[in-house]
Order: sequence, then structure tokens, then C-alpha cells
Amino acid sequence: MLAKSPIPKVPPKSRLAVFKFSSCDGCQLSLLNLEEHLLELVDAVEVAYFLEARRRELPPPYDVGLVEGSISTPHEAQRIRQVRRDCRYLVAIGACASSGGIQALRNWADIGDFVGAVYPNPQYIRTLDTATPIAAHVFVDFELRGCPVNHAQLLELVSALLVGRRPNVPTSSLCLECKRRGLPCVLVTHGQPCLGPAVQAGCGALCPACNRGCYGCFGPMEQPNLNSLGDRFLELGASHRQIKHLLRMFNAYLEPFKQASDHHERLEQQK
Amino acid sequence: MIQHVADMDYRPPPGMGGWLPVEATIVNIQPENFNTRTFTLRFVDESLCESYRFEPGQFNMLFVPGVGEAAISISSSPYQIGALDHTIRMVGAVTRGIDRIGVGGIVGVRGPFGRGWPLHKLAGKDVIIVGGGIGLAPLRPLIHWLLRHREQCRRVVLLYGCRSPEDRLYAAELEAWSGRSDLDVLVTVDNADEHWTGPVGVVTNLLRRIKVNAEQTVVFVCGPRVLNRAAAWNFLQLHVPPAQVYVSLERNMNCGFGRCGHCQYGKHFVCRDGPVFCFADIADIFAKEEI
Amino acid sequence: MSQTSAGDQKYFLPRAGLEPLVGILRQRGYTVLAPTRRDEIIALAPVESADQIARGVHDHQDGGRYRLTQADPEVMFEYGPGADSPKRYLFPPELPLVELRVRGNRFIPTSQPPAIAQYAFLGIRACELAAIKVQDRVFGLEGQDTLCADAAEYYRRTRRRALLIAVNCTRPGGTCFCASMGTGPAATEGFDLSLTELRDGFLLTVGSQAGAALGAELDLRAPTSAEEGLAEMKLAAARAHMPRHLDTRGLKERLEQTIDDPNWERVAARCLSCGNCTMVCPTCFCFTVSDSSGLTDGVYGRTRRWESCFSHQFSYVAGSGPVRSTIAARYRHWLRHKLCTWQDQFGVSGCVGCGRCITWCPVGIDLTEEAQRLGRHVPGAGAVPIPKAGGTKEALP
Repeated sequence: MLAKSPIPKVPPKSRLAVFKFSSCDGCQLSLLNLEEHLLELVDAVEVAYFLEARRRELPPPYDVGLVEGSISTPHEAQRIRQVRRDCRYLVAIGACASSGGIQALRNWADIGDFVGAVYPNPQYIRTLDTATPIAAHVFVDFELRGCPVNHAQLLELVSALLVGRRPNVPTSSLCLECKRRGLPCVLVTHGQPCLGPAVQAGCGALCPACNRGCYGCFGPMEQPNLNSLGDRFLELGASHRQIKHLLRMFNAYLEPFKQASDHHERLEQQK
Repeated sequence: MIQHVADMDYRPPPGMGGWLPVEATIVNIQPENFNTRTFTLRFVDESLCESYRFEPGQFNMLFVPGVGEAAISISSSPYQIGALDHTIRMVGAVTRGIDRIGVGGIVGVRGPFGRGWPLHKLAGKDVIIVGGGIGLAPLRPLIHWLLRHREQCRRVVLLYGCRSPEDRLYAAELEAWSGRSDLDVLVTVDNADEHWTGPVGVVTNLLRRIKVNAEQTVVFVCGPRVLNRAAAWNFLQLHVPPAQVYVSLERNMNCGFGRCGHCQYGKHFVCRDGPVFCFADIADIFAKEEI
Repeated sequence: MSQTSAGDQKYFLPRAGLEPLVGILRQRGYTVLAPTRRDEIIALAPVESADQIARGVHDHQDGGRYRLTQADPEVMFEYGPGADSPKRYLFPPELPLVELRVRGNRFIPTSQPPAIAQYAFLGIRACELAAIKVQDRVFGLEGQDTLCADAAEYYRRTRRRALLIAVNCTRPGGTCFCASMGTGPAATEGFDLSLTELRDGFLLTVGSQAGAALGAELDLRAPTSAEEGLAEMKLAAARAHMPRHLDTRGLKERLEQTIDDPNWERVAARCLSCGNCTMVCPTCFCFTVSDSSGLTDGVYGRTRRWESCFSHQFSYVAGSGPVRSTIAARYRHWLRHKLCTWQDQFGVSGCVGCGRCITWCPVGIDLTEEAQRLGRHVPGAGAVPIPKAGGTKEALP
């Protein structure tokens, strides 16, 4: 997504902090999986707080804070406020932090039922009724989408902040990346439902490259036309239920997806 | 077919048309208002300082390494050789980047691009210049040119509007211009302070204070979109012929020479066919939304 | 073959002569690009042997639908163009322009200009030749526009070195309308050699000096009058069976009056604004140059990428936001540019009738239908019904 606030230029050896909320750690792992660039990154910034990578914790304030995960417990809802105060520039990374993630599927159900079914002693579980994105709680300066985030976009974010550039993170459709790579369109050549025309670019068209339709882990693009795409899926033989499930995945609770999936749910129930 | 740039007077000198911008040192920064500053640039290459020429109304692409480029109007006098002024509002990453570089640092320059104000259309005419906010920047070289060639035209009137007295660009210069007998300057503000004794309100209100000799008048407008529209409309209502109304437009520019497609405006590339347009050439789309 | 002057000389190239042709081109240092079958599409790709050229396959194209089926294994070029066009090679989707370091008060380039490839396009279609001609004008091949001399350098140099061997279409694809645009199905100019496929070989026409020189090395014979007649008939049949049609009479003048047409909103209801049409269009030229920087090495890069006017940020103006903020405005801009304002800018239509934007539109919006509907609105008469996207119902995998 676009920067919500002016892009700062953070000085070399700026202090970087990485925080984890309700998540699978996959986005933090993406950071560790930068391989040869990881050394460069550690050279360029000071990793001040990153529990998954090192035990040393430097105290706040931090110049850049990367936040992974959604807010799903009362404790997290408190903690994110402190994190915001500690970070000059706060970036939500990954689908959980930018949309609530896959755990936001519980927002359509009764959390008590889940807790009761899973835990023998549910009275010890403290959780919120909903899992929500970071931006629902505090001001977020920038978001990186994806489940998990894309390596190249993580690097772009950091190198952009080091020179004060607006990170080159497109908000246009996945199709542009897919076509630049010259991949066969799975929707047109196979009639396979592919969310690509409504999903934000950034992954490099991973799934279409494997002959699979996009399932939208980068969330909705800038102005998705989900009505028209849904109609097309129906023409291709998909059911309302299938379309609902396609939309209710990693970014289910992000607005255009949420509304469209509710729409298909209503139509499914009318049948 | 639109006439290509072959007939344009000033084009990038050799070496300035490629993707590697040439270096220029920031030699001075003059604050204009809370978010606008005038940067004076001098080419590192001395021979360029001599050979670089532009016409009033043209722009440069200013480059900050690693950050990007922004199209910025040249705002200095065309007779000021060797140093180029660019008045910049800090609203994007590139413009903030230029500010961060500071005096003594270098930025990249490509240009000059576009078509400027039609100086050959002024002979024997009244000239009315309408500026709003930062829109005065591309008009400033024109005013300097006019003051040099004052004998060519009849009256010269500058109507300028901005938000408040503190927001005025080139405040000292405006004062100096006001004192001249060969230039009528009228400045209006949206919000006055206790020291302001001039008019308050939108710039088109100033039209009531001047006499417009429609057939004999050439109008130059540069400002925000609403001002461009209102001013053009007002002058047309006063029966100024559409071919004598010129407007400078702002668009997203990426290449500067009419290839990247970003700045298209109907059939025009604003960076190549503009930014200054004759109203008669854009009359069919000027009032339309989202062209 | 002894004559080497360019002209309208016709010869017969036996089917077996295609392999030596590829060999000679490769010997001369060309990268031979020909239609190949990749996954379920026809894609323009480098080949080392004529065997790699797609054959024995038919394509079935409709709005938002593309399928390949088996055909007589002997026939070679009985398919229309795939999503890719020579644009991918002459105007690459991503091109690093320059890399630089800052040393004192100087920008020091640290990269060489991009290497210029030598391409021989074998089996491109008349519409693609027309598209190359359009892009020649866009990038100023004739050189009258010196303003962007450096900036369009890659296109000009690659283009000047390229060899164009066209194949005339005897079986138009399902979304083709080149006959309406006057660009096909037979290539009439701009090629070095052109081929018309017959039963056991090709009727070969020489179109340039370079083509004549190449022909001199091939095993050619004079065609019989029956062969020439058959080629004529096949092309006439292709012209007659063109599946789509666009009435270009007065089209530009009509579109000039369509800014306020209510049909834009109707298309916008279907348009996904995904930009597929602009990516596959062989003439669309919009790009963005974006800047990058290394984390620690102090190297700054500038890269050119294909961009689409359908993206929301395309017209973004710092401080005031995007100019074209609605899908209707972006579709209007694209279609009017393609069929109308392009002619003002470059003296030629931006559409060559290849039908790619129809086939590869995920919802099958048909440019020919939309263009016909525009500018004909009678207030209060009610709107023309929109046909559904092409393609039959198919089960989900």
C-alpha cells in the first residue's frame, strides 16, 4: 500500500526492531531467509530488537519497527500501543498484520465455541472476540502485504527508507507482474478461477507460474472490481460457496474481500 | 498530427537527453513559505552553465539518486546565466529529498523540457498574468522576460492569489514589482492577518478591479486546477478570444519527452506539448473530469 | 536464386527448407524467435531448430478464452498470435537503464548500456508487422525526434538489427479483426521475407535487400501459377472469414465526441482495471522509470518497466492524487487513446486488429463491440444490452 505519512530518510545504522503478535512467524522467517542480503542488512541498520534472531534487546526508541501478526488478545491490544510509542516509523508486515490474517476467520464465528472445543480448561484462555489488523489499533506508516511477505519487498522497504525513497511497492494488479513475466493466464487458458485481476502485485506471480490460480495472499489491489470477477467465476462454473472460500482466506477481513465474501455467502444461503 | 518538438526553441543540450542526469550543485536555498523553498542550482560542468538555455515556462526533471525524479518548473529569469532557480513545494519523496541534500550538495538535472509561454504572441498586446499559490513559479521567468522586453507589449498586469500573506512566493520581489510603473501587481489572500491591507478572496475577484480590453489581451494562467478553470472561464466570459488564453497544467511526468505516457491529456503529452497550452487547443477537454 | 534486389519476387520454399533457414540465421548470429508451444499457449521464444516451432495445433480464441487443440500434424502456422508479440523483445518488460555511484560532486555510471541483441523474428503475423511499424513511430525510429535520442536507444538499435520473416494468416484466430484495420491477414510491407503456407511448402515473397540476400542462400524454385493462385485463395478466404469486425469509417471523429458517453460507466462495471489488455497489446508503450538503491554498496539503479494506464497510481500527481481515479475514466482513456488520440499523436491508429485485448481480458470485454456502441447513444433510448463474456461453462478443476 501507499505510504500514509511522509517517507523519512533514516540514517545509516538506524535501529530496527521486529515485533511479533498473533502469527506463525513466517514473515520474520522471510527476514532471516534473506540469505546473502541478511549480512548487508545487518551492516546497514542496527538490529536492536528481534527476538527470533538474537537474544540481545536494546531499549527503545527505534527508528523503524516491523510488526508481524494480528491483534487477537487483550494483552496484544495493550502492547501494540507501547510499540507504536517506541517506533518512529511503524510498518505492518504480512497478511496478519495488514488484514488480521487467517485467524480473522474467527470474526465470522463465536470464539467461545472454538475455545470450548479445543481446550479442556477454557477458563484460562484470554482472547478477544476478533483478530484485527494493526491499523485497527494504532497508526501504521506503511504496510507490506503477503503471506508471507516477499523478500524483495522487504529489502526494497529497508533500502528505500535508508535513502528516503517511497518504497517501490506497486498497488496495481498481479496481472501486470504475471504478464511482464510472460506467463500463460490460467483464467483465460484453463478457465481456472484466479484472483489475480483483483489482487495486489508483489509476489512475482508465484502461483500462476505453477499453473495455479492466485488465491490472494497479497490482498485486494487498489480498486478491485470483485463484482465483475465474481460474475466471471460463476460463468466459469464456480459456485458462490467456492468464491466465498476463495475470498475468505489470508485477507478475509480486509474490506473489499470481506464485503464480497459476505455477498457470496448470502447468495449461497438463498439457494 | 501534432507537430513534434522539432520546432521547439530550447531542448536538452547534448548529454542531457539520456537517463543519466547531469550534476548540479545546490548553491542557495531561499525559504518562501512553510513548505516551499527556492533552490538555486549551478551545473558542476562549467560549459553547461554557459550553454544551457530555456524559455520561460519550461521545466527540468530534478533527480535525487536512489529516490527518483520530479518535474519542476524553472523559476529564474532566462537572463540569469549559470544559475537556475527551482521553487519547490515539499509534497513528495523527491522534493523532500532535494531539501535534505541541502546547500553544497548535488542533485541531477535533465531538461529543459516542454513548451513555454508563447512570447511571440505578445507584441502590441495587454498581458494579464494570473497566478495562484506555487503557480507563480513558472510565471516568474515570464515576468522577468517581459520586464526586459517591456516595449513590445502595452499593459502588463499580474494578479496573484495565495492562502495568506505568509504564503506569498517571492515576497520581496513582489514588493519591488509593485513599486514599478510599468507593471500592475494585485495580490489577494484567502486569509488575511492584521497587517494585510490588500484584497481578500479568490484571485478571480481581482478581475473586477482591472479593465480588460478583450480583443487586445493575452492571458497567462498557472495555478491549481480550480483556479485554472475559473480564470479561463472568467476571461472567456469577458470575450477574450480562446486563442489568447494560455494555461500551464500539472501532471505526473516520468520521462519528460512524451514517451512514458503518464502525463497524457487527451491527445497531448503535457511534458512535450505543454505544460503551457493554448485554451483553443484544449477547449474540448478542459472542463472535463478525469481526462 | 541469383537476383538480389528487393522487390515483389515470389518463390517456392519447400517445407524442408525451413530447417536450413533457421540454421543460416543462427550461423549469422541471429537469435531466432519463433512461435513455440509452451504449456497451453503459443509463445514467441528462441528456437534452435525448425522442429521447435509449434505445429499441428489450432487455437480457439474468444473473449476471455484461449484453448489449443490438436490439428493435422503436417500444418504449421494455423494458429493466431499468442499473448506475446515482438514488443517483448524490442521493448522489454523490464530494462535496467543505468547504474551510478556518487563520487564527490559527480555521478559515475557503473554499468554498461544494455547489450543489443540481434533478433530474427520467424513466423510473425501481418498485424505484428503493423504493430512494429506503430512502435517505430512511437520510439522515433526515423530519427526526426532527437529529443529522446538516448532514451529510446535500446528500441532503435534492436529494431534496426532485427530481421522480420512474416507468415501470412490463412486461418485467423477467433478474436482477429485485422482486415478491418487494414493490417492483414497478408503482410504487404515492412518484412524481409514473407511466407504463405501451402500443402508442402511456402510461397515466399522477398520484401527487402536483406531478405533477398537471405533468399539467395535458400533452396528456392519459381512457384507454379497453381501455387500462386492457391496462396491468393487461402488469403482471400481468411479475409472473408475474419471473425470480428470494426467499422473504422468515421470512427475517430465519432470517438472524439464520446467523453460524456454513458457507456463508459457500463464498461467500467465489467472492467477489472487489471491492465491485461495493455500488457498484451503489441503497440502499448507506457512505461515507468523507477529508482533503486543498494543497502550498503552505494549503487543507485534506474530501471524501466512496462506500466499500464489502468493502474490507479499511473496518473498520480504528488500533492493532489491520481487524475483518473475511476475505472470508467481509465477505460475511456485507454480506448480513446488506442483508436482516436493515437492518430493525433503518431499519425496512425494505435490498434492493429490483433484481438489480444479481447482474448486476454479475464472478463472478455470486446474492444470492437465497445467501440461500435460508443457515440451512438440517443438520450432516453435505453442502453444497448451487454453480451456476456465469451467462453462456455467449464467445471472447476
